[in-house]
Amino acid sequence: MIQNAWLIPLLPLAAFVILLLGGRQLKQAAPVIAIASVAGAFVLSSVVLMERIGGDTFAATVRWLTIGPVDVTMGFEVTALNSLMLFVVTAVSLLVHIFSKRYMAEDGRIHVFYGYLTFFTFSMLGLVLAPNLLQLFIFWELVGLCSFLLVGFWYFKKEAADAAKKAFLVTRIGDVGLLVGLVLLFNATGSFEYGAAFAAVEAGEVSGTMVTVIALCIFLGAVGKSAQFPLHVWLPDAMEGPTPVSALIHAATMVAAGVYLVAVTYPLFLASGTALTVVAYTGAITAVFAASIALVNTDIKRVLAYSTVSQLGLMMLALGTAGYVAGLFHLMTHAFFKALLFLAAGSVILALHHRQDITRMGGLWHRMRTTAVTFLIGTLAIAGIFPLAGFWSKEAVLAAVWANGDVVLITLAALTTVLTAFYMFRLFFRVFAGTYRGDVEAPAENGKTVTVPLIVLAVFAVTAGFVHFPLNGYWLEGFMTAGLNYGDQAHGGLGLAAVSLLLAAAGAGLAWRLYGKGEESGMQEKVPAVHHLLENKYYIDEIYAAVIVRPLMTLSRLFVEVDRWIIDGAVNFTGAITFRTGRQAGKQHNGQLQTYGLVSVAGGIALIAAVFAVRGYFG
Amino acid sequence: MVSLNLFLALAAILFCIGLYGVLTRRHLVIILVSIELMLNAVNINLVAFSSIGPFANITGQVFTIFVITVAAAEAAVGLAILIALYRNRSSIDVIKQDLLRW
Amino acid sequence: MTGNLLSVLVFLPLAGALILLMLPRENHGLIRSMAGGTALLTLGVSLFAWSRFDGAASGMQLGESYPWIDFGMAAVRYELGVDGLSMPLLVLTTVIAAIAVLASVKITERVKEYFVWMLVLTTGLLGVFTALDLFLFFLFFELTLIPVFFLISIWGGKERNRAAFKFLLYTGLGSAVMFVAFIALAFTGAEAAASAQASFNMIVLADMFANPAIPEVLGTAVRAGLFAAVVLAFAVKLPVFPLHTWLPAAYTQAPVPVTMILAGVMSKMGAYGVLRVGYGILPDQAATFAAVIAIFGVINIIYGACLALVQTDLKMLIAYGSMSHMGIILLGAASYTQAGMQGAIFQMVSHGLIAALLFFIAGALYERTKTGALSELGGLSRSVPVLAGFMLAAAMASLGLPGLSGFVSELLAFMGIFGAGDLIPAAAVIGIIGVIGMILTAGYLLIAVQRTAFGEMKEQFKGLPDVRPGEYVPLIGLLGLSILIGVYPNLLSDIINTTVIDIITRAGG
Repeated sequence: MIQNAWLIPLLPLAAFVILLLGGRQLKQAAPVIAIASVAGAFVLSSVVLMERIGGDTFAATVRWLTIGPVDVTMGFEVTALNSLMLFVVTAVSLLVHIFSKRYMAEDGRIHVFYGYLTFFTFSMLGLVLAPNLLQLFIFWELVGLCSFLLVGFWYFKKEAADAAKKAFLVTRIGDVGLLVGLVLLFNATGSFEYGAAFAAVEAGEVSGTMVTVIALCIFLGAVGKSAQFPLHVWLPDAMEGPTPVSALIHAATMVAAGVYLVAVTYPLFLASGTALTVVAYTGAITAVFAASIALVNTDIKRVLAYSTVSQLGLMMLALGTAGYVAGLFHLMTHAFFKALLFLAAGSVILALHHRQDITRMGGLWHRMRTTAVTFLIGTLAIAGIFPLAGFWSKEAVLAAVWANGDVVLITLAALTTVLTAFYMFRLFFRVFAGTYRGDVEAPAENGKTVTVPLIVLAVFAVTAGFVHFPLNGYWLEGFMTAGLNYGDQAHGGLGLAAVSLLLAAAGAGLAWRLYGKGEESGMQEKVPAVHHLLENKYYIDEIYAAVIVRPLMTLSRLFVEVDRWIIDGAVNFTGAITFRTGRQAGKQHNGQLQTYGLVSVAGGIALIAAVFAVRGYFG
Repeated sequence: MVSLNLFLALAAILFCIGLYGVLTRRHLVIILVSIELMLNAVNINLVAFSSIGPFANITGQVFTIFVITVAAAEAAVGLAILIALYRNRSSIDVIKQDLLRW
Repeated sequence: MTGNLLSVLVFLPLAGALILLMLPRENHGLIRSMAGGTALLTLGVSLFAWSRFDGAASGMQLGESYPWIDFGMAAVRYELGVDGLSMPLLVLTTVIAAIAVLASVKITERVKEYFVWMLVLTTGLLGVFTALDLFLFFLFFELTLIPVFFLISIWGGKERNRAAFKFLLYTGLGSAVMFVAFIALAFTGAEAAASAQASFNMIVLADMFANPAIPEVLGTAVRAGLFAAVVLAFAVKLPVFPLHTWLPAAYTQAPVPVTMILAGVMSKMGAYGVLRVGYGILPDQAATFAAVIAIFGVINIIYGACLALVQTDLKMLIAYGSMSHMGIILLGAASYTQAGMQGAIFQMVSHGLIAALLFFIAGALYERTKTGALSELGGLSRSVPVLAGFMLAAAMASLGLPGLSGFVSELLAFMGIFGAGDLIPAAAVIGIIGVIGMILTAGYLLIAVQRTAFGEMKEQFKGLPDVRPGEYVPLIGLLGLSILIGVYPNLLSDIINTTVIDIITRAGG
């Protein structure tokens, strides 16, 4: 099977093509077709993962583009890292596909929705399977396109259309960085292939400065896609898309592609200390920064979005502190529990007829028991409570940071742990505890297609951590780093585990004190300045508008004027001058034969005189 | 032997008189006559060079005959145009013949 | 059979035009099918030529050469031939021309004349891409101007006369410079080679100028002047800032099928001329001027994109965007690297397809909504979902989404410019400014999509007809080709690779 891993992305692609061609006729069949194709992909991925665990890396390529003597190839590759990613992506994607059947049931364009969703799954799988940086970039852009299409799925809403545009443009900044990075890498090493390019770097064929520049360019791509500071602004707005999309693309898979990118190009970062430090600091700052905004936001999806940004920051932080396995481990567990949280939120939103404001929720614990329990599991997991998945992966991250020893990073990571527990429990209490404050009559569960994915994801959120814990000798680490030389992976001891639990408990406890009743805490009255700053997301959007967008527009308008008055003006001026001259000269032609004669005689005489003057008489 | 220069001077005077007539008179017949005068000035030059010029030969006289012939034809055509013009516009004053202007 | 294949290809549309002249004026159906048939037949012949073309061989293929005019001091020959540079453009021309002719259903006045001009224009374009003799090249080049002038000034929009004259004046200026440059090339070439008779043959001239003794015979200033004149002559057509102001006028005022040819093929004549004549005959000067060309390329990219960002009319936006994309060609060519040069050729083909597609869609939208103002459009995804979908796809193709042809050309061009550090000082800076242009490109195209397709459906656009069966041909044809090249670029690179290697090695490595 591993030799035919290329079939995995083709299944969703086939579904996409069918849905595209079938159009409206397939409105009924669309969910079935899509779910079947992704289920097929999931089964194949599981088989591939099993085979890879027992076997070895497999790669196959075909010639794609010839540049002079160099052949650029495309193909696929199954490594430890991407066989795991295949499994995670297809698993989450399958569950989201199932969930969407009910969530999007009332939408008249459900066939389009499933078309986009399958195309996204195809692109994401293609990205994961890519054996070289160029192919990764190709699918990287395609997932971006899907994100654009799905965020703007309800394009008739201005917010959705704006959010889609913003998502595309902001990530495009990162994408351009990545493009430059891979072009520079190709020019420096002569190959896009991971193996060949990294071998050249490790052999010292590329200067140190160049490696740093390349790594930073590539990291810029990751910053855009994984919504890291300062390019994080698009992800919260992207919550305008349907909730299943937020779960799949903007929580579990696509946004994690940035982390994945750093992981697959890890040798470049290892070769450049500067780049690694930049990754670590960007991750740490993002983690705290986004978590702090999540403290005050009142939109259930946006809180989760900022939480995602923050958690992605933690993954970056882990990678930046040499915690290769820790970062990817957290990526995997996060995919499950964040998808769970989003789908549970989707379940709530669906029950409340698309209301997302948590000030109008509360008391749903008794009305939506399955959703509430699974949401609680997700909350516990993300907060890092023993023994859920998040506990093990967060502990691995903290261990990497601790081993790195940078005090600032350790502080930021610890702070993030507290904040995460706090805002997640705040969210949980505000939604599920206390009394119901909404205006929708009797919100209730939405049936099996909604609850089953929640339960499955909850199981993953509880158990996914056990692939990497002391009792099995950190199995994941052995699997992932076999044959790789990415340095020693740090492990936390009991002490670290205790500290991290304590921090999480502190955050959760504080949330209990303030929001345990599900009501408002009154914090905005106590610290209005801070609250205001956080509520306005540190005014980052406003700053960008003032510093980048408006000057650019002004410059462009200036160019328009230059074009009209100076460049085209010069052209029109030349035309006008010619025309006027002709007019004036024309007026001299009064039709008088004798005037003409006189002028020609005068001209003849002048000519002769001139010749005489220059050359002398007959000379 | 009369000097060549005297002939040339006479021709120049005749030519200038003719030119003056062409450029200043308003009556078309006078203009035609003035043109004849200019042609004859040229004829005098041709004949003079032909008989006492530095490279005297018969070609000049042949050309003179040509010019006289053409001048006669030109006078005929010119007068015909003049009559047609008069019929159409009831005037042969050149100042008024300004159809071909901007 | 292949003996005179190129001549057949070039003059087939002209023959069609002659037959059209003999058809009755009123019988529109017959005229349309005759014109369409001719265009399709030409397309078929060009595909046949493609199949006969050997991508691995270097030098000119399918060549024809006959003595034509002997001026004594200079000889003009009738010479045609194709290589990897012209072959893709030849096929592009026939594809776009066929699609444009088929897309001309909206033309209902003076139908016969219209199609005659279209076919004459096609012959001119094909001639430009096959002529190997500068004199012949010039004749074909001029032959394209006259039909375009009439096509704009008779069948154009409200401002058609102004647009047509502006176009004529600009290109007239370019042609004047070109004429002088060509004559100068021929005679200085003969002087340098100490040959009694000047030749207009591009290949012969290239050999003459490649003579190692040439710097002693012809000073650097002379050769630099020649190169500058050649580039200036073609820069008008491309167009390069600041010679571009005819473009928005002509592109927006010409009837849609003519704009498709203008943007799709005619702008490539300029790029082709620069590469064929400038780079082909004076490679050393091309290397000397690399930085200048690259800077103009970047100016084109940024300036065009900025202007497109603030346009209020859809067609104007696409027109300035089209200008911006021409910068990529310059950037790739300037780098004088394998990748960059290949990127330039890819961009010619790719932009030809995508610009034609965008203008076709803009025309189809205009025909339905009767407005091109972005402020009045909106919500078209609701009223015409399929057309809006194609618009989105075309925008994505234009902004260089992978899987579509634009991406390959941008990738190659940037690989070129970032790898041209030893030829162009600060190549990396130029490259970075260029990639910023990619962000701006995404900006204006998304603005276009958002303002037209997204948003609430407007009352007046309710019940507009979606894509008609006849419109699927241009839409699917152009988009399909773009996808084909984007998914498997070797289709094109197999044809052009050898030629590009030749161009690069001519510069002396």
